[in-house]
Amino acid sequence: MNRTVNKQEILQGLSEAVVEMDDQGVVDLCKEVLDKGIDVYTAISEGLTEGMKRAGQLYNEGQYFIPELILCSDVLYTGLDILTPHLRTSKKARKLKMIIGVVEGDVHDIGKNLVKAMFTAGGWEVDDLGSDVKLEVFGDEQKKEKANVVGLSALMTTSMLAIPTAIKILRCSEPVPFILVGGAPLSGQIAKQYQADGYAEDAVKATTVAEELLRDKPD
Amino acid sequence: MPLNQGRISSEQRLSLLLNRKPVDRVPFFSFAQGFSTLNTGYSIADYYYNPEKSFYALKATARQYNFADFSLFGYASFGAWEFGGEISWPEGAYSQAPAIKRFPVESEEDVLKLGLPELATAGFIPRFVRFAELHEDSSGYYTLGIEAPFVGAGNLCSVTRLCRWILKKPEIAHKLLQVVTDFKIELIRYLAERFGTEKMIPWVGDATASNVIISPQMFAEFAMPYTKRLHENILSLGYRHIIAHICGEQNRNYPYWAQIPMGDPGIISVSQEVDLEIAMEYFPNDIIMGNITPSIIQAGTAEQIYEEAKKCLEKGKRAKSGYMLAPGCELPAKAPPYNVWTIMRCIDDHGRYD
Repeated sequence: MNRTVNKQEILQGLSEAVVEMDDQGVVDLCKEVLDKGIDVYTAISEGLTEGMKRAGQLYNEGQYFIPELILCSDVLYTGLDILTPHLRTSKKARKLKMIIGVVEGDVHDIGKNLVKAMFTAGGWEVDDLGSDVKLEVFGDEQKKEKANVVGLSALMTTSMLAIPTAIKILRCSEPVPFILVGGAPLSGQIAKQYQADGYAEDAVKATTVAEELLRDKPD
Repeated sequence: MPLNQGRISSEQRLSLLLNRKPVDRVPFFSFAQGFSTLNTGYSIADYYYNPEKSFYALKATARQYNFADFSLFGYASFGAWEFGGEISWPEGAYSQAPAIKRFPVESEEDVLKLGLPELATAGFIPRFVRFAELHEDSSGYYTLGIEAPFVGAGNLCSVTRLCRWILKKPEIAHKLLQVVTDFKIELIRYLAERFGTEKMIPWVGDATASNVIISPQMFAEFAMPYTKRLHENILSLGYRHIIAHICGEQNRNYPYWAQIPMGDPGIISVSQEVDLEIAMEYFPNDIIMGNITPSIIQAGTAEQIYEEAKKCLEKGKRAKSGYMLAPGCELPAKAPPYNVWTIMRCIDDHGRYD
């Protein structure tokens, strides 16, 4: 009984540590997870992930801004770095996969990095290609990684023009992923015009859009 | 259909507006940078790399489209190169502006030992000087993008690092902002001494201070005081006007921007995320400029662009201290020329004052 209470407290503590941007707190709690033999998958999904989701909610409510989300994601990654090596392989294999990158001609990567954090928190395996990514690389990577979703980001009206070309390349890859786009000059209308599958106006909404795409996918 | 040039020249119209006199019709500030050099057979990189080509391209394109004769020179990432970082020129197929390859500030220690650059030789500054020299014997106003301290601080250390310091090391963020502000004040003094203050209107943009990135409280603490000090110094040097490009979604920052002196009158460049009426409310004594959505100019139909420009004109013409139609941010470098011409046609149809 004590162990259960303790476990719940630790999970709650992990979540709080992410929300409160408490780097040392998450290190201490992750060590406790390992010391007490708490299931690592549960610690990630009900602790760290839950915390990042709450941080996202605070962002949506206008209480948190990008500085807070960056620090929350720093804490998330600190926790994941400690716990992930202890995940059992069978649980790793269940992960959905995403490839993400800022398209060629653009180096603005804050939004992309936060999308990556939100997907990582959501249990996805994220293959981050970085920024200023040559368009062919998205197709090559998709052929290798066979991701469920590819996220393309552009922050300028000129680099936005790379997105339809990247989408055409990805449509020729096998398997064809869902393509999610975002970034300041884009809108739902332009995303549709470029034949993307989804558009997210910010990092927090991106995971929801991706989950909806996968949910609505015909068998 | 040829465009109507109006009863007075573009230059006269702008001069009247800046002197708070009535004008015949709404001027158009093109915000055309790479668009102008592409339009005249050069590359986007030429706009930044070569002041002679840039000067020619801006003048020629303004004449062709009947834009306001008001040349803009600069880029948002200004500051990194000047403090010893590295930039790349926009030479790729999809590049729009110089990008930072290496930030000059990577640690708290770097901030503490940061000194001011040698103005005569640092980074892009010689190009500012050349661009200003070209205007000495030319008509028309010009504006150099010295940018706001907050975006400048992000350009030195990366926006991500600046965000971390705001929360974890605010004293380091303030120290960096002080140095960046000092640099910009020294730069504007240097330009004023060399070229006077009559024809140049300093451009102070701030995209990093958007409420998509920071809270209004963070703006009040980390952006507003430094931009205010910069503007006070600009005006004390004798510049009459400042263009404040309030870039991105900054609705909640407007009460703070309104506490910053802008000149007599200042020019408020309003991004498409902010209603022109909000800007008009906070800046009744300044010229309002904006705010056609750039991505619509790039990807929209001529009808959509015409409608958007018309809506802006209908609101903007009610601004008490004058109005300039303009894109909310840079005119897309590869915008279809017909779409740009459509904006000018809309001014012909709906931009006249009765």
